[in-house]
Amino acid sequence: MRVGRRWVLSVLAVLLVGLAVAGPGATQSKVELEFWYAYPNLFDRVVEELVTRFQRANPEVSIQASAVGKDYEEITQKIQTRIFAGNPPALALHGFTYARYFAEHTPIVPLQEFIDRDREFDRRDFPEAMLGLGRFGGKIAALPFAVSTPILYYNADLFRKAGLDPRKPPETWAELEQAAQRLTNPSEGQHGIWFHWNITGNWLFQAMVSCAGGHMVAPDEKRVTFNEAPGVRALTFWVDLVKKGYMPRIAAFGPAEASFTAGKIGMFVTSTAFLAQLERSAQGRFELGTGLFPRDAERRVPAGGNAVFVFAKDKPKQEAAWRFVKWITSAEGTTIMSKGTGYMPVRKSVLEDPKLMGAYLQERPRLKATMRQVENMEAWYTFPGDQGTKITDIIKNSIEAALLGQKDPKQALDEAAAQANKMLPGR
Amino acid sequence: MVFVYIPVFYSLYLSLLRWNLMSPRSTFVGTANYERLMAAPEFWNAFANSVLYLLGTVPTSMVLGLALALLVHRTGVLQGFWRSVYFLPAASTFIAMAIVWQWIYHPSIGLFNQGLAALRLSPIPWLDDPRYSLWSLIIIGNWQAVGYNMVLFLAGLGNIPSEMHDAAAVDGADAFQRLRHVTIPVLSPTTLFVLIISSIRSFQMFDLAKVLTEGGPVRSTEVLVYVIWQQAFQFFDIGFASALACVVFVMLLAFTVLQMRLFASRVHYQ
Amino acid sequence: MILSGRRRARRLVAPAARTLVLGAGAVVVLTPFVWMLMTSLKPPQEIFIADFRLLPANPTLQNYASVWHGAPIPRYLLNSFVVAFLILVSQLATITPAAYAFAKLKFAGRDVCFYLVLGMMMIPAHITMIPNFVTVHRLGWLDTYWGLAAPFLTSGFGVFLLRQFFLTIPDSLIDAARIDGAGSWRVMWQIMVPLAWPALLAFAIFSFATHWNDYFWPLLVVRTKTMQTIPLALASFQNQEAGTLWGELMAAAVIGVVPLLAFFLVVQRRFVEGITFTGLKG
Repeated sequence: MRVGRRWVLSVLAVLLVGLAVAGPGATQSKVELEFWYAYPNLFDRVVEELVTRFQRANPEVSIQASAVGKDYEEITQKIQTRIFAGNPPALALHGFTYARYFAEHTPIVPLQEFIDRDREFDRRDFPEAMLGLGRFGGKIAALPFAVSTPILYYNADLFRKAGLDPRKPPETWAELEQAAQRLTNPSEGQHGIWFHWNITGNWLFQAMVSCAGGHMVAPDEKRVTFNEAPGVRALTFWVDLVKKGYMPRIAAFGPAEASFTAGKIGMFVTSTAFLAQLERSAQGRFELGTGLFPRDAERRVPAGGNAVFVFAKDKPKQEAAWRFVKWITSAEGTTIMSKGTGYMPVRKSVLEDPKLMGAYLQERPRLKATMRQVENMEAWYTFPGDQGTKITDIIKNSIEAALLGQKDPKQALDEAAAQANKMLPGR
Repeated sequence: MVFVYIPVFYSLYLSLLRWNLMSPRSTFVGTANYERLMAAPEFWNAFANSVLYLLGTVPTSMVLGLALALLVHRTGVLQGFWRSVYFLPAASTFIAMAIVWQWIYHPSIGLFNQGLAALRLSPIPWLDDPRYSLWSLIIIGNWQAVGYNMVLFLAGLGNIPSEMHDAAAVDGADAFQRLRHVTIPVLSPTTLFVLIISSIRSFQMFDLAKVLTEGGPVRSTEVLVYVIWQQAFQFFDIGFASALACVVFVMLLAFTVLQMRLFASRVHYQ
Repeated sequence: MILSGRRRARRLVAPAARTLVLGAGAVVVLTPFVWMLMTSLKPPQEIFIADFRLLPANPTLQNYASVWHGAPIPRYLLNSFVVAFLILVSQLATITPAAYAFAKLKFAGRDVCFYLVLGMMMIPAHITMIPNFVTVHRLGWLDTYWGLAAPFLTSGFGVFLLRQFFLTIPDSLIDAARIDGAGSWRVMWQIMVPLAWPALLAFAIFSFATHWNDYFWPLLVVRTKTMQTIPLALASFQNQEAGTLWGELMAAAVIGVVPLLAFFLVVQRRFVEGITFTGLKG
C-alpha cells in the first residue's frame, strides 16, 4: 500500500530524529554536580543566577540544576526513586517539613562533617532558629536556604469600608476575631478571614498551638501534647470562626485565593512565600497589606521554606558540593535568593545590614512582616519515626472533622493523639 | 510485557517488607502488611469510595456514550467533527482541566453556584463538604468518560455492515426495532469491552482525587489508587502500598473475569 | 424511491433534531474549554473577579507571549509528539499480531495468556513506576525518547480492543483466503486489518491522547528541561507554595491541546479515506 510505505518512512524519520537528539553528550573532565530543586516558578531565576556566578568563579565545577518537581511531594518521589536506583543527585533543596525524615532515614551526607573541617565557615552568622531547622540529634544535617513564616495578609480597602485602620492590623487573637466580625458581610457573600489550615505539615496549626503556649509533643517525644489545653484552645478558635460565619469552609488554597483576590475575604493567613503571587493578583484591584501572625499567649511561629542537602558520595564531588553550599548560603548568595523570591535571607548580617536588604525593603515594605518575626521563629516540628508523616495526615483529618462540625475540637484532637501516640517510635 | 510483569512480582516482594525505599535497611515482615491492610479503616473507606465512584460513573457514561454514538454515527461526514468535540474532555491535559473544574465548583464565584444563585437556590459546597465531594468528582468522571465510551461505541457501530440494517428495514422493522434486534446484539462485544474498560478505568481514578480534593474532606474522596500513592510517596511505607496494589490488582482481575463469564452467553460474535 | 409526504418530512426533521441534541450536548461538554480559552485571553486583573463575566473586557495575548518566551514551547511540543508517536507505532505493530492470535488462532494456554494480557491494564501505574524506573535507568535510557516510551511499547488495552473486533470478522472470510493459499501473515494484514479500521482508529486516538497527556512517567524520567513534555511544562505554572499563574497556565493548556485536536482531525480524515479505499463498507 502506498499509504503504508509513506508511514514507514515517516516513522523511520522520527526515530532517527529521536535517536540523534537523544544521543549522549560529550564527556567532560570537570566535576559534575546535579542540583535539584522544586517550585520552578519561584526559584528558577534565582538558581540560575546563583549557578552562573558560582561556575564563573569555579570553572572546574559544572553544575546541572534542574527543577524536578512542582512541589515538595514530587521532588520527594524523584529523590526516593533515585536513591533506590543508587544514584541520587549530588545536592538538593528540600522542604523543612521533610528535613527530619531525610536526615534520619536517607543516605544524606550530614553537613556537620564539612562544618567541623572548615575553619572559615562562620555559622554564628546564621540566626539560631534557622540553623536549628536543619539540626537533628545535635548534628547539622542541612543548611537553611530559604526561610518563610506565616503572616497575615489583608485587604486594606475592605478594612477602610468596615471602619478598621489599615495601618494597624489586628495583632492578637481577640483583635483578629473582632476584625473578622466587622469584615463579615453575608449579604455580599463576604467573609472576614481565612486560615490556610491545611498547608503541608500542619504548619499553621503548629503556629496556633505555639502561640497559645503549647507544643506538639512532650520534650521526650514519647507522647504528643497537641491535644492539651493550648491545642484545644487553638482549634476551638478556628472552629468558632467557622461557626460564626467569619471563615468560609473552603478546603483548598486555589479557591480561597480566588475569593481573596475577588475581594470576598478580608484577611488571609498563610506563608510569606505567597507574597509575590498575591501582590500580583491584588494589583489594580485592592491595596494589599501584611501584618504579623496574630499572637495569643505569645508569638511563636514555625519557620517554613527549604534547606540544602548533600547526597554526593565521592570525595571530589563532596568538596565541590560543599563549596556550592557555602556560596548559596553566603551573605551574597542569600541576598540574591531573597530579592528574587520573597523568602527571608538566612544570614544575620544580611537581615540586619541596611545596605544589603534596606533598600530592597523600601521597595517591598510588605516583606517587613516576616522580617519582624525572625526572633519569634521556632523549628517546624516533624514527628520522629517512620510513621511521622502519617501522624501529620491524621492531625489534618481531625482538624478537618472539627471544622466541618463533625466532631468537637477536644474530641477530634484526643482521637488523633491516641492514634499518634501509637505511631511514635519506641511504642 | 517485561515492563509490566517484572514490576508486578517485584511489588509482591515489596509487599512483604517494611521499607521506605530509601534507607539501606529494610525488614522482612511477611504478611504483616496484608494484615494491617485488612484492619485499616482507610482501606475499607477507600474501597467503599472506589465502588461508589464506579457505580456513579460506569452505568451513566456507558448509556450516554452509547446514545451519543448512535446519534453521531448517523451524521455521516460530520462524524469526525462530533467525535473530536466529545472526546476533548478525555484528551486534555489534566492539570489545566483540574483548575478549570476548581473554578466551576468554587463556592461563590464558580459557574455552578452562580447558576444556582441566578435560580435563587442556595449554593452547594461542591468540594468542601464530604456529602457532595465524591459526587462532584463523579460528575467530572462522567464528563471525561462519556466521550471516551462514545468513541469506542462508534468504532463498534462502524463495524456493523449496513446490509444488516437494510435487510431489517426491508422486513418492515422501524428504527427502534432495528436498534433492539440488530444494532445492540451486534454491538455486544463492544459493549462488554466498554464495560470492562470503564470499570477498570474508574478504579484507577487518581488525578481527580489528588489535585482537586487531596482525598478530602475527611477522606470522603480517598479512593484506592490515591491511598496507594499516599502510602508510598507521602508516608514512605512502600510495603503497605505494594500490598494494597497487589490486592487491587487481584480484585480487578477477579472482577473482570467475572464480567466476562457472566456476559459471555449474551455476547454474539458472528 | 418515491417517499410519501410524511416520510419526507421525517427525513428532514430527524437530522435537524439530531444536530440540535448533539449541539446542546457539545455546549455542556465544552464549557470548561471555553472558560479555559477565555481565561487565557484575560489580563491578571480580570481573572477571578466577583461577578461572573465570560468575555475578557481587554483581551490580551500577553499570556501566550509570556508562555512562549518563558519556555521552549516548540521543543516541548516536539518532544510530546515524538514520544506519543513512537509509542503509537510500536503499539500498533505489537497489538495486531497479538490480537489476531488471541482471536483466530488456537494454541495451548491461549485463554490464560489472554487474561495475563488483560491483567496488564489493571495494575495501578504508580506501582510499576519505580521498578520500571530502575530498569530504564540501567539501560541508560533516562532523559531520552526511548526511556519515555519504554513502558508503553505495547498495550493490553489495544490487544483487548482489537481482539474483540477480530472476533466479529466472519471465519468464512478467513477460510476463503486460506483456500486461496494465503498464510497467516497475509491473512492478518490484508484481510483483518482493513476490516478493523474503526477499532484501530479509536485506538490511535486513545493512545496518542493518553501519552500526550501523561504526567507521572515523564516526571520520573526527564532530567533536563529540554526533554520535558507538555504536561511537565504546564505543571511548572502551578504549585502550592506560591500559587498559580492562571492566565499563563490556561494559555499553555490551550497550546497543548491544539496539536492534539489537529491530530484527531487529520487522523479521522484518513479514516474516511481508508474506508473508501477498501470499499468494503456500504
